[in-house]
Amino acid sequence: MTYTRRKLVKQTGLATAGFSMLGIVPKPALAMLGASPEPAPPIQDPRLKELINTALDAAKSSGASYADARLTFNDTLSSGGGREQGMSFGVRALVDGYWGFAASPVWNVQEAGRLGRSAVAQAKVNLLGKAREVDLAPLDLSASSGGHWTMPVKDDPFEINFHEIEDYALALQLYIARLRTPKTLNRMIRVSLQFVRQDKALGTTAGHYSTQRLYRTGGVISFFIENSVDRKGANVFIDRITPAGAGFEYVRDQPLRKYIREEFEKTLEEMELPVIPVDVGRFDTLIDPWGMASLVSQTIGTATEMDRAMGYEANAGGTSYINEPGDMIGSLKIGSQAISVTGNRNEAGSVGAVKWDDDGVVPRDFVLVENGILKNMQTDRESAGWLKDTYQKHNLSYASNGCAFAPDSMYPPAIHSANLKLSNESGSTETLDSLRGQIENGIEFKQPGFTMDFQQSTGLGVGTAFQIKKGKRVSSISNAGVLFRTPELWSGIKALGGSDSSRRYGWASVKGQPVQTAYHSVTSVPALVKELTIIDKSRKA
Amino acid sequence: MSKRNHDPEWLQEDAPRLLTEAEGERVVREAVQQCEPGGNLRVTLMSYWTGSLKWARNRAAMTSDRRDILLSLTLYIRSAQPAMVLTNQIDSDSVAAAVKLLNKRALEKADTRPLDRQLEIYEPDIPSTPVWSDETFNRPASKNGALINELTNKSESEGLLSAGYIESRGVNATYFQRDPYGRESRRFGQLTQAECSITVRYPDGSGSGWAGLSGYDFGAISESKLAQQALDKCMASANAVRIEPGRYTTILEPQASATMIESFVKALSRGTPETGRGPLTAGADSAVGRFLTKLGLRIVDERVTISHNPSDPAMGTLATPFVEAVTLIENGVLTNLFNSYTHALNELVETNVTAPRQAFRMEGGNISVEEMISSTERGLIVTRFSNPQMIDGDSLLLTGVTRDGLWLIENGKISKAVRNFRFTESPWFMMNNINQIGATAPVWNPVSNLRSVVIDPQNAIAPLIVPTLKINDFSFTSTVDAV
Repeated sequence: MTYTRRKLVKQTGLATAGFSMLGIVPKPALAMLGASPEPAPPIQDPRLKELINTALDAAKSSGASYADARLTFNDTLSSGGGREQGMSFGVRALVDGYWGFAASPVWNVQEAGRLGRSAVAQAKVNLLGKAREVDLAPLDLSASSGGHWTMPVKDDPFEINFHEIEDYALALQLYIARLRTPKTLNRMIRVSLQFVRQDKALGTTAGHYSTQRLYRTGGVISFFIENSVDRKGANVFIDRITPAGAGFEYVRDQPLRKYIREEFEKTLEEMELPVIPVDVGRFDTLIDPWGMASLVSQTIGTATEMDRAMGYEANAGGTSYINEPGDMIGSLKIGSQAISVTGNRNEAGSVGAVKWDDDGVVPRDFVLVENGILKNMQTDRESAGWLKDTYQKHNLSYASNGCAFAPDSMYPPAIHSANLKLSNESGSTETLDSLRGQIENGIEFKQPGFTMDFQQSTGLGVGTAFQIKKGKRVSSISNAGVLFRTPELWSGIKALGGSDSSRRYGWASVKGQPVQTAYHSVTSVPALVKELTIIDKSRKA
Repeated sequence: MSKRNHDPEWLQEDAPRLLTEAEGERVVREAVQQCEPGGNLRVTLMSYWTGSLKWARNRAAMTSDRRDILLSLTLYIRSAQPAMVLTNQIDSDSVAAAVKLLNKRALEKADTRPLDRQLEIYEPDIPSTPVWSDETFNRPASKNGALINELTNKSESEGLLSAGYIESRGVNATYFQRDPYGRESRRFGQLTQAECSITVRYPDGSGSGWAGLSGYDFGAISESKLAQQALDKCMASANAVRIEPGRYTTILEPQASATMIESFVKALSRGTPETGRGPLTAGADSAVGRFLTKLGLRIVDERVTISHNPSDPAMGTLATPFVEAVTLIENGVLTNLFNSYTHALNELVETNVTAPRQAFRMEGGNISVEEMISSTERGLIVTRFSNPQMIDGDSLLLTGVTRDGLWLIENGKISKAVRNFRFTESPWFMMNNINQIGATAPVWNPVSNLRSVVIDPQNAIAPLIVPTLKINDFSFTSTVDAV
């Protein structure tokens, strides 16, 4: 039997004393819902609904045709002990096709009225003659009227003893430090964990009111194996704890030490391979699930954000190679027949999971790419309106896909990528190893990172690369890079790994002015791609 | 129970958008009084207001008014690892709870380091420049509404799509520090931030132009001039032809040279070379058992001088503890390096050691862009770079793509628009291959992360003043489809 600190505390009867002593809930953040301030009540408290309604009423009576209001309480904890709490209150209002937004850190009845009026005043500054139409996609109120949802987690990081988290991270660090061989030493060891809990209430003038408790847990485990003779070595990145919609159990219940040891041993083997310079040319290229998930997220996820495709991000992150989404749905060939990508916001354990999105919509599962053809875009209620005719033409129901995200109430909602999935339903049993076995003469990238252009149409991938001959890694290649055009990459898929080889990662999506960050999960299988252009990334023209 | 941010006065429609100096002082004092004595304590209270207007497709897309507060408490007790607690609630109860957690964490982290490993308060004796502009802070949202209407009319009548962003922000910040010897320093700072950037595109995506500028004062930013520049660039970028990648004599407009110079300046830190890594390490000194840096050596073209001075009126930054006027590169010689607070604490035991990372000026020359073009037989002119990514930290090799206007120069004249390129180039190489240096200009470099301002008020405004540069043999490695 292994003893965790929590078990010890419980068994020695210190639980009750320890609870208050450890200050698990450290901060009364105050709300004023009546005559005097009080610690912010649980998010399901009906008085918070009144607070939101006050804001919505103020917006409506000032002239808003639609408004929504959010309360969020964010709590952030890191394994290093850092803690941040933030309360915010935001109101978004629509007046004659123009949006206004107002936010502040105060949960207060008087403030609710001010924010509602201010959001309308902000929208009204644009009523100067030019018409703008907003056709919000219909909301099925039978499903979207609201309620409460708590993301299911086993161990709320904010309800357990912080030292259990701290000890866990420190113990992993020690474990890595002690993984030594006579010739190597692990340096630059980094183990950091971060936990976020968000309580959120959302009300809209369309009749929706919901409260949610959402979690995000993730972190970084990385180190550098240094050869003590020549000080050369390799970086190890453990890709098992990217952000997920889970509690502390996500970290604790994974066999991380086993993963670390396996990756350590694999990397030692890789370090033994002869290092060769890049043989520039076109080669069949094997990309692991990490790399493929990153490609799905950037070349399909970002590119199918409807606002981006329509130029709403032109002055920020950029636009999209899908520049006429209305015409392209149903006809644009994204890639080979084998490619199907779906989106959702309800996958258990995914970091993008919600019951209602920030329009109050119950998100639907949607198909973005089917058999290589573009089938849909990532939309919220407003941008689904831009596709009304297209949806009708293709017999798709006219509704938002549920991609409205507001990181917290300080930001108006924007479209961010939903959870994405590149799956292989062919019944294939291929794995990363068996795909490698198919390669006569090619390249393999391990955990590559991709940097794209501002329309996701061309990109450069860099990472640890190996030369594959007759199905085996024979050498490690220094400075290899892969240069690609998005359509060629997806058209060149020779084989995908089977569904057992698929892995899920959590990614941040950063966009907008002001800049906001949201998270989503991407699940992908590994892939073997035909004849990609391999370059020396460090070589100049 | 203090109501503070629930005070009805504070929530009036026309109430001040920021905490006053007295209010800030009261909150900070309340926090400091409850903090564990000893150690290095830093308390920052920042209240801020942001007004913004984003537009796209010639129509306003979102207008917003946002106010927030950030109270940041950092305490080092015999440790280089700080305890850190942040909250945006400043009533007495919330502050007390935050401090209680801070004390607990700081004591847990305390180890047995000797006291001399802690920094003393260092008071910069530097006149700070005004970084507050009423024009920025009092800019009414209605002004933006009218302006956007006007700015987009022009592009609309040309059949083009305009997208852009205007933001004004005001920050009142109270900074408090206490060193292990009980010496205290406090200051109140006020600053504004202004930014405007505009992109104009052909609806079919066949051309795109951009212009932007940021600073503290909207009085120095002409939105209509930026709109005209973006429009002109868009129209001039149409019908771009594909040319071969390769090495070109390249004129970098200030926005483009800023991307390269910024990544160079960010590498000028002391911690990295002293551990024997990076391009600034000059080998090991076995006598003292540490790695040497290239301080004192000429590392770039002798026409290059890069400096920061908080009293430079064009710099517009708040005076900050541990930061003083500094010349990083003087006539090509490396004369100073940055230190992080933690590095200083661990290795140097000095106080006047950190220099700003975010704000700097590179001296310019007197050659006009026209002269640069007319003296170029075959070359390129770049509006700006996008999506920069470091490929190799040792050589500072950077990749990225050109965006919003790239033209070919032939026989001393701009001959045609060309399709975008991916570049692979090191700013280090670039700074040693300067052909001509032109006039300096401030560029668009807004601060999006206010968190960084809490750590270091220098980050609040990041004015980069850099010249137009003509570079020999700038390396463009592949063509890019994106427009």
